[in-house]
Amino acid sequence: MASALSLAKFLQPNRGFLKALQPLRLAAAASTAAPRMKTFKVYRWDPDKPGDKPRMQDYQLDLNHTGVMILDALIKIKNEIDPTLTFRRSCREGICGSCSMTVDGVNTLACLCKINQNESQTTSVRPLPHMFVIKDLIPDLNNFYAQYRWIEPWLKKKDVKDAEMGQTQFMQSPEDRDKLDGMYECILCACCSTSCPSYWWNGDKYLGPAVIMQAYRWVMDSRDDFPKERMDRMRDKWMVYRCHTIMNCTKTCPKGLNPGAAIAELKKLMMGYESKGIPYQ
Amino acid sequence: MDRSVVTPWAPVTLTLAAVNMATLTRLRSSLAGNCVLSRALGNALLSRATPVAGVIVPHKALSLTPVAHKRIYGPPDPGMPVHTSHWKNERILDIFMAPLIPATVIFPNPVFDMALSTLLCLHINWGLEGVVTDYVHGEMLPKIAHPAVLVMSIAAFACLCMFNYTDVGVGQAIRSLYSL
Amino acid sequence: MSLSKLRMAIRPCLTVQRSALIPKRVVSSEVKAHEEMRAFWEKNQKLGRPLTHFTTYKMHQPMLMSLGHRITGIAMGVAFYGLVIGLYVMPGDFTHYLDLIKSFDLPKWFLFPAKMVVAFPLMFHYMNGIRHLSWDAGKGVRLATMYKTGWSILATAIVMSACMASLAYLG
Repeated sequence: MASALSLAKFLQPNRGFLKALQPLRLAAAASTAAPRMKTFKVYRWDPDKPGDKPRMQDYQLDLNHTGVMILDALIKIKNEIDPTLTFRRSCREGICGSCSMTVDGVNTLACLCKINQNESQTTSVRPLPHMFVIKDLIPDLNNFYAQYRWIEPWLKKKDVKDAEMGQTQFMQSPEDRDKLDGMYECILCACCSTSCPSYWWNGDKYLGPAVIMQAYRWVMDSRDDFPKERMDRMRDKWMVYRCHTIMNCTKTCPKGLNPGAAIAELKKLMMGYESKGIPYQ
Repeated sequence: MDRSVVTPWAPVTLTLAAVNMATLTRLRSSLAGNCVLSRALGNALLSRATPVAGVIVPHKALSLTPVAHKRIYGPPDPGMPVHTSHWKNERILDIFMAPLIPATVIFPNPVFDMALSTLLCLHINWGLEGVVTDYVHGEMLPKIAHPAVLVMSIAAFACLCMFNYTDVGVGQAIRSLYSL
Repeated sequence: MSLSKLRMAIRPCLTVQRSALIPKRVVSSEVKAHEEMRAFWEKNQKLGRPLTHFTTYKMHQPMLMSLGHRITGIAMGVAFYGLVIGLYVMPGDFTHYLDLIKSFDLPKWFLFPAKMVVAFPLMFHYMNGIRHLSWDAGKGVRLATMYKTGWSILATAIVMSACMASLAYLG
């Protein structure tokens, strides 16, 4: 009796023996379904091939055997069709900011961008706009990083010596901490800055939404003792004031942040008005 | 599963599991190749019954976008003038212009005409200067374009003053045009 | 105990030695950042790397509204300056040219749309300008609000242009 009960439990579809077979059953089901072939147009350029020109290369993938996100498609292409396809990727969960690229004309993270399941439509995958290409989908982000370094994105205290750092906590009220919401979550993927037309035309002098939002973040941090000095460095007509509130940055942020609002608030602070933080997208 | 269930069926499950693994491994190695990355990902993607067809269709080459030649790229000079007050003045001007435009059209009079002319010429001048700063780069072109905008604005303002003084005036002109 | 004292005695000497051997170069972050930027432009121009396309970027309503704001601004500015300077340069005053246009006896089906087309850039730029001022005050910066205000500005501008064009036929 006990063994009959155990056998019945063992043969339950969602447990035991049949559960172990579930992946095979699913794969069998998928394999018997008609293949849903979708075309992906991917930007290619090889610096090691002399005379190579940038081109769009078509890849066909069966959506029944591809993961949900664009990054899954790219990895599958690299695995099974073309190992020379080159792209940045790391966490595959939208927190590292490595896989930022332009999918169907929109800057986003490939690991968070769902593949359009309509197989009759071609999906285009390009590197971030108006950037120098190192190879295939990889842009040169060194200018972006240098601009981030320029704003000095670290805590600066007036009366605390380097040796004393770490001795006591720098206290901050919950209200002051709330002012940093919507800005500390930035992963510096560069989607917003490379979506900004002002950054396209003047990326050498204009800091771009991501960097300006982080500059505003450090100005708004109540523990920082140099907000005035931080702002005074950016008062010329290039660094912040090339922003014309086009708002491409807010539209494209894959993390749901609002850099356009941050720039507007920073301009208010620079005029001498008060600021209470920014909303999300 | 408690131990009493595992023990009698262990050989069956183990055999089946072994067969499962063997099939998977054979499929994985045949389809994914010997690359470490692909084998690791093959585990995640499981078995594929049908081989994936990948068609490489080269498109005609996209053109290389040249970077402007005579332009000097790099960070802005540290000694540039402060722009904050200019930006603030632009907004103040906009705030004054907003009620003035309908007021001048509805109640045309010399004071409103002159005020509107001044504010309008300033607004257009500052707007066009912003456009020139955004798009005109290089060594000589900005040095020509910025003074050109200023000259046009001064000329237009002078002509508007003449217009308001000797002719019908801005407000009345717009009213007449729209009464055609 | 003597060993720890010995270690404590030696440690400063070791650190002094280390810093003497490898002098630390203190460069301000600003200088380093500017060096990196210049190196970026030099390297990319030297290597002749391609610049990625931006014309394929997907257009959306806020971007089109901003583009429209700039285009209407430039168009009206240039047209206004041209008209004003041209009126001064050409012989005859404003009334002369107004009578000239009246003499063409343009039909209503042409005049009404023509007046709308001339009024629309001003109405659009004006309404969007007010929205710009509200953004500068920090109001209405959320994406959903921007879409709503954008559509209402477009609709209002068309309605106001129609009102302006129909003024001649009212009283």
